[in-house]
Amino acid sequence: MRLRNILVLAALVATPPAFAVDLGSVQLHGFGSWAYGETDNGRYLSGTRDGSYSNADLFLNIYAQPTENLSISAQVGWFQNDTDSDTEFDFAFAEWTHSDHLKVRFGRVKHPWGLYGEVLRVGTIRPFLDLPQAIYGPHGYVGQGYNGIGITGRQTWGNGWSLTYDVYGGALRSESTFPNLILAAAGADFPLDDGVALGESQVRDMIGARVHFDVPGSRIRFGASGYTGDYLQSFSPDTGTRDLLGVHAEYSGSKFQARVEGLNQQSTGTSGSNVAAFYAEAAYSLNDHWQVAGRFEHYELDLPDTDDSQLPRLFQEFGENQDTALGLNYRFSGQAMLKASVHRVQGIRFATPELADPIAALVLGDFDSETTLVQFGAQFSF
Amino acid sequence: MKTLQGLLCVSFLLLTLTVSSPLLAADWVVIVHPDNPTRSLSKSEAADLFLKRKTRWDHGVKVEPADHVGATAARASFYIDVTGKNVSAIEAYWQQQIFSGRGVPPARLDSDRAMVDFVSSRPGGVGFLATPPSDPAVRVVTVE
Repeated sequence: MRLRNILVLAALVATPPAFAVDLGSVQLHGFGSWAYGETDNGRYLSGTRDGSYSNADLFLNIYAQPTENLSISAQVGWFQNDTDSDTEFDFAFAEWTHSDHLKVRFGRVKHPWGLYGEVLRVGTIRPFLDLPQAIYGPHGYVGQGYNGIGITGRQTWGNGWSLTYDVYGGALRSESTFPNLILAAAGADFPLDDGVALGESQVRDMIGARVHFDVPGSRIRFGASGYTGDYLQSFSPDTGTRDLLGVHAEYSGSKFQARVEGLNQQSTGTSGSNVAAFYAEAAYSLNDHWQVAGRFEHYELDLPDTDDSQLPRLFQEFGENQDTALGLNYRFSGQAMLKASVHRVQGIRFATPELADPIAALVLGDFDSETTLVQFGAQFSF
Repeated sequence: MKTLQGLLCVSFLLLTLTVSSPLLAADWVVIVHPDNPTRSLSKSEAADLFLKRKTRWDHGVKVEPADHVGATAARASFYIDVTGKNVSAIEAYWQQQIFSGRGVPPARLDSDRAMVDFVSSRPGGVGFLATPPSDPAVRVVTVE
């Protein structure tokens, strides 16, 4: 679907009233975004060297409650970026409620990970246009969703503490990207250029869980997430086991909000690796409309039994990524906002540099591993 | 000295009234169906009801909360007092619930009359008003 059509559809569904469409026991909601991005070196998030206007998406959400104990929800969307345009089946699952302490979900369910795992594309509930790539980027560790069954619930104690939990199993589905040059250098059939390959990965026979604790009398919540399973990647026939563990904490005040998350990944197999990543972000509302935000994130990949200093520079820089970002937002309301941000990135795991000579980059390490991105965009929901 | 004593007495009296009568300190009152046996709620219980984290009353009836539309003073005061979150944070909470498939917000009503009609027609209904209602079709519960 072309950008113009997405924007027309977005305007139609975003016209007053500014809330959902209520069709009795069925409700329709949605969200969308558009962004322009420009870098000084290759591609990163919505940005390209020449500037890209082609980043837009729109998702529609349907929620139905046919009986008192049964709810059904689904979400589908359309997205476009500089290289791709496609539809996306986000989730569709049924939830049966035994009690507030125990609900069973089955189908294609959003991945309950950390603070943002279930709302990866919803821009109106975060301070930046994009999520921190160190945790939620295209490395495939946090999935688009799992196909399987899960249980969820909430327990509150008399002292005010509460615990929200999720336990789930099945197959986790996610997308990952790798620079063509890295794949070609590793022996895969990819061109020696500065393009990016998009693939799908799965973690099968997976078991995972997440817990949130709400601290009474404060605006703080914290928790942990984890899963284990057998991974498959479209880039490689190799398989192995993947273990992922994360921690998160959030303070959400009227004017000031702050979040921090960390992740550790360990996988076995020929493609096995160890990854440590974290981010910290904060945002402050100057008044009802203006908000300033800052974020720092760090991602580091290590190959087992490998001395990183002996690897070509291309591989060393691929194993690291740091992004320092500042943002300025204007909120029309909680459902519509404009955002601008500047990012300074070091490393090429998620930023793909422009390579005038890919062979020189691979053999001699002749490339610029730093990227500056400027973004401007709009995000809305209803 | 007498003026100071007078001021202290008045202050103490006001403080006593504030502590013992939470309704007088708030810009809102919570209402339920008259058949609902609940007489009082803690703030955390009230928050759980309106954020749909508690879906059944202690007597087993399904909770049916209602909210107001828009940015009224009573709505802002209610959510800050009961949940500790401002209206923007409440909106963000519901967006997270909706787009993760976990639930949808309470019914949103555009007048106090509509709120009274909603709660009085549902045994599990609960809502809030800016001022105590004169209509016996609903009953006020204390929130402490």
